[in-house]
Amino acid sequence: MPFFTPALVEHADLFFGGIRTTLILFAAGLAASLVLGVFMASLRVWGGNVLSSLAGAYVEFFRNTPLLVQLFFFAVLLAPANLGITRDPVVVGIIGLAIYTGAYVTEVVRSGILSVDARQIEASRSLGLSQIQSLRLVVLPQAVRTVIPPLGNVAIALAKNTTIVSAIAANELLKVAGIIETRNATIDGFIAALFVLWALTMSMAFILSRLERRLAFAR
Amino acid sequence: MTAAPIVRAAGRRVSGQVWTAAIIAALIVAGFVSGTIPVKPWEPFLRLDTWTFLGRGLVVTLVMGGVSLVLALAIGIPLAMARSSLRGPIGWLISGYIELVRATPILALLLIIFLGVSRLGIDLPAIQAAIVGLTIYNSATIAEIVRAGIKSIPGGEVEAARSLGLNYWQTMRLVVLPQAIARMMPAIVSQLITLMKDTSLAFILGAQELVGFGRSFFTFYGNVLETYIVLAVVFFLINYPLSLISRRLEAGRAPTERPSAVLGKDVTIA
Amino acid sequence: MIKRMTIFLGVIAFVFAACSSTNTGADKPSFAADSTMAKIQANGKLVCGTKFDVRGFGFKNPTTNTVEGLDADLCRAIAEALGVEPEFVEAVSANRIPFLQEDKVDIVASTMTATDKRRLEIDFSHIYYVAGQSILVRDDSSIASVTDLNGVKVCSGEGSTSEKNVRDKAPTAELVLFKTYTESGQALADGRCDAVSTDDTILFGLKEQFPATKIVGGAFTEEPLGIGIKKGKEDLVGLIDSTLEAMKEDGRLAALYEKWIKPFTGTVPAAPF
Repeated sequence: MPFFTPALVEHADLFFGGIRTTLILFAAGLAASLVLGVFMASLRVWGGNVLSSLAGAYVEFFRNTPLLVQLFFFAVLLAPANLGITRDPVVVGIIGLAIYTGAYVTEVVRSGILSVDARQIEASRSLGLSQIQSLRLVVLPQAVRTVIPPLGNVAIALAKNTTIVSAIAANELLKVAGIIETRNATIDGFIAALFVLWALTMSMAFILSRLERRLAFAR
Repeated sequence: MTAAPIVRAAGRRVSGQVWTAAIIAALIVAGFVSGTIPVKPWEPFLRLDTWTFLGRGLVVTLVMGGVSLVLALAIGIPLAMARSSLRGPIGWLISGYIELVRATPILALLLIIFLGVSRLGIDLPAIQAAIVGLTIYNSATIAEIVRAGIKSIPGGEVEAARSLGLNYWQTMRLVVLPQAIARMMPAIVSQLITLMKDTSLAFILGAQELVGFGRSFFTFYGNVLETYIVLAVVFFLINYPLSLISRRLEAGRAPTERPSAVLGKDVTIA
Repeated sequence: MIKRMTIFLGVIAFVFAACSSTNTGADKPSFAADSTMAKIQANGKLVCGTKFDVRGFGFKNPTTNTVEGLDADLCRAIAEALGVEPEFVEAVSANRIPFLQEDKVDIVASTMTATDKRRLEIDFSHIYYVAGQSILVRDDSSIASVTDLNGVKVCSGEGSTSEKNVRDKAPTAELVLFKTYTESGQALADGRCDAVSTDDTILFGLKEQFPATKIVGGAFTEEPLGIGIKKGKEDLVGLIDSTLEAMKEDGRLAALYEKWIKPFTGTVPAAPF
């Protein structure tokens, strides 16, 4: 099957726009979810009783409800008539993906932090390192190594979840494929979109497996 | 060491959860009392016919999830056995299939099945198409989970079973699989949570499941935000107990028996 | 284990055989054995694709769980003429024609414009209403005509003639395409788009649903609505046309216009055939 079928050539601009939007959703969603996840994880670990439980409630609620419903909700909530934050479905998508994915990142980072033996902190403190120094020099390097593989899986899941943003009319790959389908009565757009998405998820899986092997040796 | 510190830690966590529940409840009450949260859009949820209506959608959602899970197990377990026992081209083919499906966004899979199969002239309504797509996707994930389970069973047990005269399938069926599946239960339950969430995507195919009934509902009453919150809460009430079960099962297992320890990756992240 | 498996397989079989209720009406009209009508009678139901979210035409009422509107009542009348029960399936703009071609539905009465291009793919009944594309905006909007749509965000339905008309008449409009018109109306109401453009018939319902809106610019196209039937079922087209003619004759059609169209337009239209 030729990749550039007539329907795709006719809608080339639309399709490449779809690739761009997917990549924006992925990159911005990943960055924002990492920031949110690290923040929430530190609340989970060091936030004390109440803040830790609140962060836990965030994790449980957003992990146990469908991203689709969350996106529908945020699209209306953030719109001018309500909170007035944005009317752009791509921005809504980034926010929705970040909040959903952030819940997974929180759990990954939290278990990464907890994987470092508390006695090591005590030991480094008794060697004269400050709290910050022992975090930076002792905890962080080990925690990062533990969280990279599961974070990689979260990132792959995020890349796949960008497709759900099509439901709020953001013109990402599946949405433009749907528009091409209704205009030209062909699923060429979907097939092409699938190849692009495969390239994205599989290259990440490949890099991740390389990284895991290197981390395993470094241990 | 006495048990006291552990008990105290548990007590502290519970009080944190009580505080969280109290804070959330107080915010909701304050919202209603101050008028920040309008009361009127919530009133339809006090009607009985609302819940019989949304209940119809919920039944479709639960059936979709349940049927897909059973079919995915029925396909995923043999796939895992084949992948861990077959060598050569067939083994590669199965591995390739599993990896390809797992690299596919579920929504893309659902749309291609729904639209593609229709173009071949086969009648596949949205709900059934969604079941097929969810089954294909989850059978690949379950195959990975079960493979990890099989891998976690010490090779000595297989050798012992074989030397007792059991053949390969008997060894698998009587010795390896029962233990492997027990070990993989936490991961399978987590996968069920993902599956229940993914049933909502059938709405995009036009299936009338919980989200679809919710849409009809707010179209009538004009309470869109409130309806989405209720839908999310309904999903939460299904999935949160499942996540507690998964965690309970996981806590009873040694860390080395978990799929992430065996495969070096977590296979159930959504 | 085996027993449980059997139960599960039973459930699966149930789902796949979904909704095959049979109706044994006493006074069924009879048709030639190999006719489309006889096949529909053998199925015991007329599967009808309608919209589920368009007031006045096809709207699923959550208090009764029935589909209401002109399109839905036309389906009921045709089912009655066949002596079977109607069964409603949601047919949004994008999936209407595929549903017919794949026999997912027997007929589509889903505010569908009978265009020449569509007539190449499917057949249409008599035109039962002539709609026109118009524009719905918020009360405070300055948009007054189709040319004002240039440069603003316009919501419409994916795969509809409306989308194409907007692209033709306001080339620089930024189209935001949703699967259903409720989503378009919702997006207009909460400010995600500046206008919704589609058939006035749909806009009437949206205006009802989202009160702080108005219809502007008049009808800038003519959209004759017909019931869609898969090609090769000329006998069914004939039956639907004669049913519509009979309804026009005995006043049932006028009664439906009175019930569903008049609340929006203030007048009872004449049957366009």
